[in-house]
Amino acid sequence: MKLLVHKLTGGYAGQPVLDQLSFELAGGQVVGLLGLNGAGKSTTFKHLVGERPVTAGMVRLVQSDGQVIDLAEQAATFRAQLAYIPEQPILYDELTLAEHLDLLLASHDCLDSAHQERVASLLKTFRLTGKEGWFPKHFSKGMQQKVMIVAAFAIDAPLTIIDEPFVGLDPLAQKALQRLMKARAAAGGLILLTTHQLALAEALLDQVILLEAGRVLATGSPAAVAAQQGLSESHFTDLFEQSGEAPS
Amino acid sequence: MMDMAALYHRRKQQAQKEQQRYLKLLFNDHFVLFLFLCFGLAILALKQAVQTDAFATANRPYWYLALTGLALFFLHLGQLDTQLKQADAIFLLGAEEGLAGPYLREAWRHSLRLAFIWQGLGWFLMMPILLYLGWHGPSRYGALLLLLLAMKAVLLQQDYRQLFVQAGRPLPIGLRLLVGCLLCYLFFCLPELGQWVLACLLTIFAGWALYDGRTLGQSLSFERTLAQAGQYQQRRYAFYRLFAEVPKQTTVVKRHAALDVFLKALPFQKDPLQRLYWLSCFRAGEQGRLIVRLTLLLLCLLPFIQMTANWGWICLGAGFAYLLELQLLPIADRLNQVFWTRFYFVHPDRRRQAFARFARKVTGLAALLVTLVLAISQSFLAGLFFLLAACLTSYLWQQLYLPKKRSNS
Repeated sequence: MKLLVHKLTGGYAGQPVLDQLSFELAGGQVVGLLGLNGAGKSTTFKHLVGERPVTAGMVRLVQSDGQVIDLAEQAATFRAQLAYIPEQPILYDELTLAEHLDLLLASHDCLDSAHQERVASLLKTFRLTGKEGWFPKHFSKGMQQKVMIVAAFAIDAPLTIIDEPFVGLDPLAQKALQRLMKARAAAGGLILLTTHQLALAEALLDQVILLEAGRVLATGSPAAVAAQQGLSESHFTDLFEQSGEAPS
Repeated sequence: MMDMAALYHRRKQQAQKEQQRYLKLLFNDHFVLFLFLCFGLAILALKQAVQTDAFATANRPYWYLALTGLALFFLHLGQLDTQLKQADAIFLLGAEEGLAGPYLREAWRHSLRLAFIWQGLGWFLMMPILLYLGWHGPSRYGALLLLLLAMKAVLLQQDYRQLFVQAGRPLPIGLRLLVGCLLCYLFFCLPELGQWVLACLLTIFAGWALYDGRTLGQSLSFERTLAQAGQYQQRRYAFYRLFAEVPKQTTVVKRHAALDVFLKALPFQKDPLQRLYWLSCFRAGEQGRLIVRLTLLLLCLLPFIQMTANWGWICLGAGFAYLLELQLLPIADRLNQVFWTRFYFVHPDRRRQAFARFARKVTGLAALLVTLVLAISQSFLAGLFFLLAACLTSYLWQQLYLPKKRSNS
């Protein structure tokens, strides 16, 4: 499986954010889209999941059998291949936790015992067991984030897109999420995430795409990106120290 | 495979339950009074028009213009009700083909039925005027109904197309309005045969548009679908909010550059409570916009209103002030619920006084503006009667109704 993004240009009405963004990612890895605020990370995700239209450039998913799915031409088929966790949890007001998950499984046509067992295991991992009858709308931000994570990992999506996965999560949930991401990548899936927690990113990411002003500044393993930025391997967490300094 | 049509039905039933709850809230004393006033004014206006021979042949173009306005108003009602929610873009990603197919087709059918009911109501309301204009026999009324239904079907189909990725740019709203206006006015001016030809042509066009819609792809534009669904909900809530306190409502916060200049002139140091009411009125919710629209509408209509007796101006002034005061109430409630209790502890008496000052200023400014135009376009006496009635209504509202409402709550 491969994700191809070629000369993607986009943003919001009258405000271009992405400037001919291009990268190519193979499955089986956890990739981080890193950058300072306003670099274009969330906007890239919005284009990838179809929340914003692709006006220029190309986004394609090449499946393991060689089938190519173009986002602009086959948006529904493309989106059926992905799981998405937005920065702010988006949930139904009127559905309970169990109903959220049932709806998700039914929409992906996988409401079977195997997937329900997986859901039960995920609920246990994130300590949500016993809360299936609750309304997630009334949960705290961290609990809502857990619901989104359970939903994303309940289905077999080849591409998982996660915007700021660790915000609001307790330390146990952060570790559980890292394990899940690693396991999915090991199974051949591609995890694409953004985070500002560089220490976590360094330990988790197989590849980094460093963004600045809607362009790719550097790409490679965390150590390679640190080297490209003139830092030693152990100083990955200082990645933005120079570019983040206020101009004198 | 998930039954997406059934999902739409479930959501529709939930929405209908909510609507029933809101309708119970809506049919309170204010709304019934408003309907009663509107009905009474319409009957009086019709009676006066008959007595003054306003339906004479020379005046027909004006009546056709008024009927066109009424038709456009009803064509605006009955929007596409998709019942789509923000979370669908995440939880139903795997069933997008079902959403774009059975789900939206069901939504389209339901919306079309509702839209046709609205057009039928508009058609029914036009009948008395058309009767006085000399439309006898059912044939022309049939053509009018066919025209309205066909136009609504085309408009609804255009909105439906916009939900898909493959759709082109929508027609600008101004152009849609212009085309609708021209078609309606042309229809009223045509002889009976011409009216049937126009109605049939539009029906054929509507049929073609419906057929063409079947070729749309399976990819939804989530950006447009969710924006459309959000706007639809906002409009529904805005309608209920006109006359009732709607629970679970979300407010849209917006800044307007022109108003900011005015709001800056009210510093927090001078009268912080009053400034908060002004800010809340013109930035959050619909109230500020509704008041401005109501005033502008009245200003535009004033030159065309002919009243032989002064009681007409008195009624208009009282009704105008009543509606303005009614619109301002949610602002006090909103700040009472959120701001005053959580962030800023102000004695209830001070809050009431500040709100009374604010409401007096808003109603006074709007009434004064209308009075000025009235004095110029009609007569000084008409303006005076209007102003006195507005001031008296505002005073009675503040002194009698509000204390009673507060003691009940």
